[in-house]
Amino acid sequence: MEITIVLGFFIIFLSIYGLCVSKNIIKSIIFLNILQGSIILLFLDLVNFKNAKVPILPGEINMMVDPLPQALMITTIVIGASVTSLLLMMSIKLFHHYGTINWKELMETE
Amino acid sequence: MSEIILYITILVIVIIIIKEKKILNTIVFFSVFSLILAFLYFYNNAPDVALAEIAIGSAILPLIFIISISKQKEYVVISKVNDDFINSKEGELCGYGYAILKEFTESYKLNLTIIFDNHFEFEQNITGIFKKTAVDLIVEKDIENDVYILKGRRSSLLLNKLDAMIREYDNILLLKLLGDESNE
Repeated sequence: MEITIVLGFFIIFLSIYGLCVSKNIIKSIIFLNILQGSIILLFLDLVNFKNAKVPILPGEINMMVDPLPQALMITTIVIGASVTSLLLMMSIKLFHHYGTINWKELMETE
Repeated sequence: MSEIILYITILVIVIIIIKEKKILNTIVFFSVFSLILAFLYFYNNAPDVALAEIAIGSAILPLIFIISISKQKEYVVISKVNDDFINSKEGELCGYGYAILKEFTESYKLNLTIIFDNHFEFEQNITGIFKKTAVDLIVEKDIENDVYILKGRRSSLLLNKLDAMIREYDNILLLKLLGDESNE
């Protein structure tokens, strides 16, 4: 097993740990973004092999990386940005309604 | 080999973000994280994904985070009175009610915004998600009893802290109204 795949899994589990531990809502949203970025990194690492080339056409086709996962990952980045902006808007509304964005204080309010 | 160094740098940055308490520092570290991640995408033979990550992850997303934090720190007060409680003389705000509100918002690191508007209805304008400005407090005056009335949402924790601050004043009354639940 390659060491880069192991490190990628380690970053994913570390970001899940941060998502569970963080008390501020904005920090949770940041960890959601970090989780998304590390999952994309793992996907790109799994299709990559040794001495591979960039998938641009004049060149050897047998030595190119599979371009389909890369196209899907661009879509994922754009969708993640829109989800982040929606979550931030909801956190602003939550602050003006309850007066706090701390998870623990929000659990205590009715 | 250089790939593994970049991986370890990312690991260190994620640990720093977990340990960091200030939210603005966290956003700056997130921007650095996205930049190094774009380098790693380039090493994995995906230059198009790296370009999208540089543009969105390290420039646009921190901008959106900082804008939303500055929006959260606004505390909007609608004032219907314009006498020695709160008044504006040539653009400068003064009055002892203004001093109380200023002390309250500065202790919670909020920015106070006061709008003078005589025709503001609580139930119609403070509820609902799609309003332009989120109003937090309304100042009114009861002429018969000579009492100033502050109206706010019952669900807000900040209103309970304001209630503890104005308990020593006799002529100020705090009304806790139901927010969105009053329609049911």
